[in-house]
Amino acid sequence: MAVKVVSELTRNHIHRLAADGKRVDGRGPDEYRPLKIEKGFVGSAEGSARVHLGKTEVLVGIKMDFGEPYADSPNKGVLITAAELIPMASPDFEAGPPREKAIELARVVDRGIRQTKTVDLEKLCIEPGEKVWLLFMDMHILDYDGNLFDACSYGVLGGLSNTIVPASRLEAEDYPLEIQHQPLSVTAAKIGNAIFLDPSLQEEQVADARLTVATDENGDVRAMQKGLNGSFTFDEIKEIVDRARKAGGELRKQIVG
Amino acid sequence: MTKKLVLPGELVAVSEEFMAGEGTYDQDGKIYSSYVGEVDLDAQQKIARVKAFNPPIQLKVGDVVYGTVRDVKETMAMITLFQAEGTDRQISGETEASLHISKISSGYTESIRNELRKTDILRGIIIQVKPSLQLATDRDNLGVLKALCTRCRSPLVQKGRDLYCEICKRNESRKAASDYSDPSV
Amino acid sequence: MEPEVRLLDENKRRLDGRAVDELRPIKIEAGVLNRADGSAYLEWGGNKVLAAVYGPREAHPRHRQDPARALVQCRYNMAAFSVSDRKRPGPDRRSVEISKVVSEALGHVVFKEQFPRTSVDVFIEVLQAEAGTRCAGLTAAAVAMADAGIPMRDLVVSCAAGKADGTLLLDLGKEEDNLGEADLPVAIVPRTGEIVLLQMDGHLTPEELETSLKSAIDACHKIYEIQKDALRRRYAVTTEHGGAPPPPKEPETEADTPPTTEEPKPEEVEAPEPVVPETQEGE
Repeated sequence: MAVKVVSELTRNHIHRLAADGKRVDGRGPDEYRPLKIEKGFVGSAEGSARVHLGKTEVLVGIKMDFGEPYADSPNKGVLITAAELIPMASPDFEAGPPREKAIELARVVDRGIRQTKTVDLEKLCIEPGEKVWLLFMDMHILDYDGNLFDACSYGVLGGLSNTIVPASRLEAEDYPLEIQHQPLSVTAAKIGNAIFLDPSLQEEQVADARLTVATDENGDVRAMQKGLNGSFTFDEIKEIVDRARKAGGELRKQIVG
Repeated sequence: MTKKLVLPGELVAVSEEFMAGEGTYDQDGKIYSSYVGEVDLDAQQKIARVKAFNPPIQLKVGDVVYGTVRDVKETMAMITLFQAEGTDRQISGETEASLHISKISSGYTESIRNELRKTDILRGIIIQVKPSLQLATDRDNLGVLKALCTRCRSPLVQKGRDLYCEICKRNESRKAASDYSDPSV
Repeated sequence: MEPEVRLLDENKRRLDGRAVDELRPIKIEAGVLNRADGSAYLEWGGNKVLAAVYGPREAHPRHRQDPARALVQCRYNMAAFSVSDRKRPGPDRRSVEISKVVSEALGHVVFKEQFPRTSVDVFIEVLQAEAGTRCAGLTAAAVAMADAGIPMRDLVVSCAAGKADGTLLLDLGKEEDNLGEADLPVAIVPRTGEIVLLQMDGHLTPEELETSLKSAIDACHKIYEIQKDALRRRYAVTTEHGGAPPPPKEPETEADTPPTTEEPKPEEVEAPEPVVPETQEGE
């Protein structure tokens, strides 16, 4: 709660800066905070990535197990995405609500991966209608300083890119999970009339509207999510998509290598 | 003073020579640190202290704090504090403070409602900690930092000595801090 | 129960090459998170654990507040991916029990009466589990509490001893934990020797119990030195230059670091609770 009240007081200040195209931490409008990805951090997971985006830190673990397919897709593996906003990460994350925040986060990240067919779910079929791979993507938020959508998106892509399918449990050989695409989200926040990428927590809290755009390696748009009470104009959306494509290209090099 | 880093449970002095001061405790004639901090052996007053490197936020007289007006009564306002100046850390302990009518401004206050309203956010200074937290706002830099119109709840802007609602086109009076229009937090 | 796998060779060396009274390697770093008031990261064999502390802060819900002292409330949680079979997110009965005994152990050393009506909130996140996560979590949490400037009599330090393959062993590893005959996690206040956490399951004679307890306590004293070293490293700069503690150290980053352990078996993870997962998503 405290942070929210403080942001009430700094709102004008941040808006005034934004009117001149400036940000509180001195970054350029499209400048991301330093991004660091440590892949394979969790030995108990089939794949993992620990992501630092400025002072935001998330740990993504990929787990695989086998189970039954859904009745309407008997020859496809199952993708399951979950996010935990653990109270370690912020004084404002308490046990209980806001539960919807974690659900939105998991769904938006899930969509980027699912819509691009980053993982070919048909290749995760072991025995049609009987046995398929379940692919769990778990996002653990450790330190919260804004822009969880992007930090988690990079963690999931980083984690998938070093996932080893534990096929030895089926008396086959383990093999690296095939990544067909490289979707990456880029999140923009609108403050007054200014639009900044990779909003910090302080910026998120005074932003009027937020837009997350996931693009693939061809620059095509694969998932979007608009958030907060404010609105965007048609031209602003076009502009954000354009900026997201550029920023995504740069970030992709850092994440997939 | 020699700077020595000590950890909780580390021996700092013996009670034959020193008294256990802040950040220490006495057990069986020995004085131990209760913090990760720096030892301060005051040879004159014979007090052993440990200054914590990262202490909890315990409010003391003179601290500048931020709070929200929870209630306004005849002679005092109740304020819920949410932050102390100069730290992001949450306040450790009591956060309900009162602000007496005589401590709102340096001049005479006839009615609190001319100075403060419920939900205002203000900056104050602690003038008493025990038995209860007491605030004052009787300086230029202290007072209301954000206030909403009592009629339409839109933010009031500063206009001359008063605050003004641009929607209702009317003034409201407050004991505003000198930086109301651009609070430096 | 006679184990099928031999856990010790003829020279009394364990599967991972340790002697019977040897600890797994332990590494602790204090002050690793930005938002928390205090934090610590600990690696203990194949365990990777983060601990964070907030407070003392106003206790919620208010009816839980104690007008005379602070509450010490710990939440022990295992990440879904920390074990080889994915754990369903959220608390289960095992983690609730561990949270309780760890809270009580840590609460013993805190000067609670200095902060009435508040809560010292301790969060333990197991990121990778091997065996002995409660000992690892508690040991990390004590460092995080000291880092947060919580006034305390001393640190608390924890280690387990036990029995496997008919032999008393210190600090059970994963197979020893899974196949062993007894497990005895202990936590002490090192300066006074007070025992503040003690659990046991399995089968020990009174003599074996005494030997194991002593061996766990001896090990606690060794781990205490590692805890203190972590805190001194964190604040060494402060004493040299004075002023505020240094910001958290940037983690060393290495792309594609290979996993440090291969597929650790789960600790005694319970069957999932029959509750609906909060954030699980399948479309």
